Formats: sequence, structure tokens, C-alpha cells
Amino acid sequence: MITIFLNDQVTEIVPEQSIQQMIAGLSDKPDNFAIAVNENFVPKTEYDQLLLQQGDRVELLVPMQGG
Amino acid sequence: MWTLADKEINSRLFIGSALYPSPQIMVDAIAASGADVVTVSLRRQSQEQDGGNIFWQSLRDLDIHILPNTAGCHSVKEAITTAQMAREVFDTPWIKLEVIGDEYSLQPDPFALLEATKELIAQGFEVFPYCTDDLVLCEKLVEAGCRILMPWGAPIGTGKGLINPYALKNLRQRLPDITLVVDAGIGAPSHSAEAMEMGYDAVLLNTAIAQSPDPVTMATGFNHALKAGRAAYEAGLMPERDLAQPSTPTIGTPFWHQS
Repeated sequence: MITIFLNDQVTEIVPEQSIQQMIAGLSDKPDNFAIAVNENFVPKTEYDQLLLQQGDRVELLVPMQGG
Repeated sequence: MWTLADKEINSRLFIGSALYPSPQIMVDAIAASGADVVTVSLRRQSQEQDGGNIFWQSLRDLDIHILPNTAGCHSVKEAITTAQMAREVFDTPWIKLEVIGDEYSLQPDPFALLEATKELIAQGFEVFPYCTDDLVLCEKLVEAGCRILMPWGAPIGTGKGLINPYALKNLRQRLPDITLVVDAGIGAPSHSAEAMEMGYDAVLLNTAIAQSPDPVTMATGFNHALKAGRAAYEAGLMPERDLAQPSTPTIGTPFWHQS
């Protein structure tokens, strides 16, 4: 197992896991979201290609109220 | 109708979606305001917020233009990444670009703002920069490709109104072809009417409506005030004078007034 940080939460995943696979394993996957890894935006078209690495910081953001 | 970034819209009010007592009051207030543009943000999901699903569905049902923001960003990198994520989530190239430079006043960082603006325009975004009323900064943002500028009326959430009307009038005169939106600091409908009377194209506000004890009625008040201010601008205000002049005709004044 490797450790990543999903929205700052320590998360254990199997090595060589893609973002697509990580999302599929979420228990409460939102309908509409975007992802950045290590402060870099990752388009949805790259979810199945980008493999997560030990220590990666993943931000999963959803629509929210704003001014 | 007027044109905002190639879109035909009616209202001159851009409304924020935060700080309302409930999602239903938010929806009712937006409807009462008549606004065609609503601002939103991106945040980490929380259990209380239902992953943003209910909120997002409510806004989609309103069939209104979405203007995502980069609120909370303090660097060029953060702002660009947030804008890229917002474009995918909200399916729009519009971005209200905020890069905060001072945590106390929430004043935008003009240098980072300009740098982020250049990069985002190169990536195809329609940038709505939240900026100060500094003329040189605004001119450089226009040179960078901005068609819309959003100078502050006062610091975010203060409700102080237009604290530097001289600078705002100057911007209007010096940038006649740019869409100008007063963003932030509006506390009362009269403040938004004042911006309209100056010839500003629109006003963006949130707290003044959302934090009113009665947001829906306050939204109605802003709706009317913006229309009143715009009508005054289009009609033309009378010139200000230092000396009093009677409005009632002096011809035919009764003899007992003639002494």
C-alpha cells in the first residue's frame, strides 16, 4: 500500500492506482467535481492515465456557494 | 438588454450565492433580485453540504449564468489551478479572478492578479478580475486582454459603499469601452444606484442581500435600485450648482412677495 493525502486526509491505496480507480473506490463520490494533484489541475480525460504516487496530495473540489 | 462578454443579459446585478440562511432563501433571493449572473466557488466536499449536489442542482434549475470565483487564492499558481478546475466543473470559460494580497483588508494583489490574468487569457478564459480602483492597474489589465474589470467599491463584506467615488468616476471616464462592474463593499441599494448613476455597467454583491434579516425583500430593493440608477444615468443627471435657483417661476409673483 502507498499513502496519499486526499483533501488532507491520509488515505491508503494500492500502488499503481489511477485517479479513475481511486474515484471508483470512494464511498461518497460527488456528482460533479474536479481534481488537482500536487496543485496541478488534472482534466477528466487524464484520470485513467495518471497513476498516483506515494505522498501525492490530491484535491477533490465540488461546487459550493461563493461571493 | 445589454452585452456581457458576448452574452445578452437583462439585469445589471451579479449576485453571490453564499451566506444565506438556507438554500431555499438563496434561490428565492436570486429570483427576486432579477440577477442573470450568480457567483459560485469550489471547495472540498463536506457531509453537511451533500457534496454540493443540492446546491448545484438548485442553481442549474434557475437557468442563470454562472461566474465561478477563485476566492481564497493567494498566489498565481493557486488561482490558475482553481480557474482550470472551475472551467471543467461549471463548463464555462468565465472566471472571477481573485488573488488576495492582504489578509486583513482582502485587498487584491495587483502584481499577481496581472500575471494570472495574462496566463488565463492565453488559456482561453474570459477573465473578470476583482481589482482595486487603481487606474494604472486597470489599464494594464485591459492591455492584457480583459474586456471586463471589477474594481472594488470597498473591502469585501464591509458594506461601506463606494469609498472612493473620485477614482471610480475616473475609471469610467478613462475606460469608456470596458465593461465596468463594482464588486464588493456594497451595503445598501443606494450604493448600487450610485454606481449606476456613474455609468457603471453592473454591480456584484452578496453580503448585503444574504445577511439582511429579510434577504428576499432586500433583493427586490436592489433590483429596483439598479433600475433606478441606470435610468438616471441614461436620462442624464442635472449639473450640480453651488447657488440656489428657484424652481417655481418668478414671473407673476404676487405683489405681497415683491418688496
